[in-house]
Amino acid sequence: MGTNKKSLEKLTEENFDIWLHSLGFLYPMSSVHLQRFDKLYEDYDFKLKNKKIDTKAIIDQSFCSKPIISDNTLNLTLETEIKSLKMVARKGDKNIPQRIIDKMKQNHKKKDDQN
Amino acid sequence: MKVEQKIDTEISFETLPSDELIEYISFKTEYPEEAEKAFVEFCSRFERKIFEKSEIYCSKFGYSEAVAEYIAHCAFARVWKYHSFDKGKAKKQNIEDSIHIWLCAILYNEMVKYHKSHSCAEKNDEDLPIIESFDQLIDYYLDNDGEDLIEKKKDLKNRLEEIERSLQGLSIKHRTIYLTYKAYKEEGKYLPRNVSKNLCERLNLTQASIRVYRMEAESHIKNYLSYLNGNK
Repeated sequence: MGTNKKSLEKLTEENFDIWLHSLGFLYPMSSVHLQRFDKLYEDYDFKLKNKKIDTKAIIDQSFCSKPIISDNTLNLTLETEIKSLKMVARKGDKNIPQRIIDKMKQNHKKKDDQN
Repeated sequence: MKVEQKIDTEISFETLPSDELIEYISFKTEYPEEAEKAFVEFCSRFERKIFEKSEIYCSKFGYSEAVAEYIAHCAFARVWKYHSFDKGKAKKQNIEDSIHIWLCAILYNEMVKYHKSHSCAEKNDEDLPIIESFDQLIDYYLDNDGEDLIEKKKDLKNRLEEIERSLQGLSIKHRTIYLTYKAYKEEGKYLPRNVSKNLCERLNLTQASIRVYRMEAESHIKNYLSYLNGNK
């Protein structure tokens, strides 16, 4: 079993996916991914740490009839999208993809039309 | 009856390897008591790990701990109902890790599909590539010499920050689309139809818009990595 010997490689397009699998953005694909996850989050304050699987409810199939909570945060989407566009606009980055520039122009045009 | 009782007293589920527990679970029609005991033991063995994974995955998709708890139950409910683990595909990897990885894939699948009816996902053959493709999964990224060395915790935290920064500025929609494609898209193939349909419904986007969001997300990350590595 490994110890803390491995040094951190540069984050690149080639290894980006491996890190997504290792750090909890995607499911793990190897033992190494599992180990990295465990090490990274070993002192994380898990809210579900004392929870138990209700095996009885699964076996007697009453589990699926329990009330389900829906609370995703997609409503925040627009706000963060605008934020990212504003950030690009503010920085005046030369590498802005053409479609983003087109989208920004389109937004400006819409505003002008409304006024 | 005597024979069954004898079998029951002889089985010590706590000491059985997890793949054998799955086998007992699969006998639930013929030996319901043994199957239930095996299932209880199986859950107690993996529940903490799966709750942890569920909490982290859900946080990346903007779901709360309540949803994470529900989805973890869905993953175990799927094990009880379908128990599709194929030991033969686990090859070199240690069997406990293989089962852990298999459970994580089931969990991820449940999370991606959670929104549709706000209930556990129905079994669908299109899920199989993500859940059962052990040939692709196992040891795919291990070092050549098989040594599973891992980095220092501090380095892992730095890496997490880098990844978070690369995803910063992406909306939840961008992030969800990007990660879903990463999880399901196979080289040269389309996204499974039910996953693609789910994405459209959940995010209230057309298929064409999803493609644009995906391209934007990929371009954003590519630019960030290029900037990070001084190739600007």
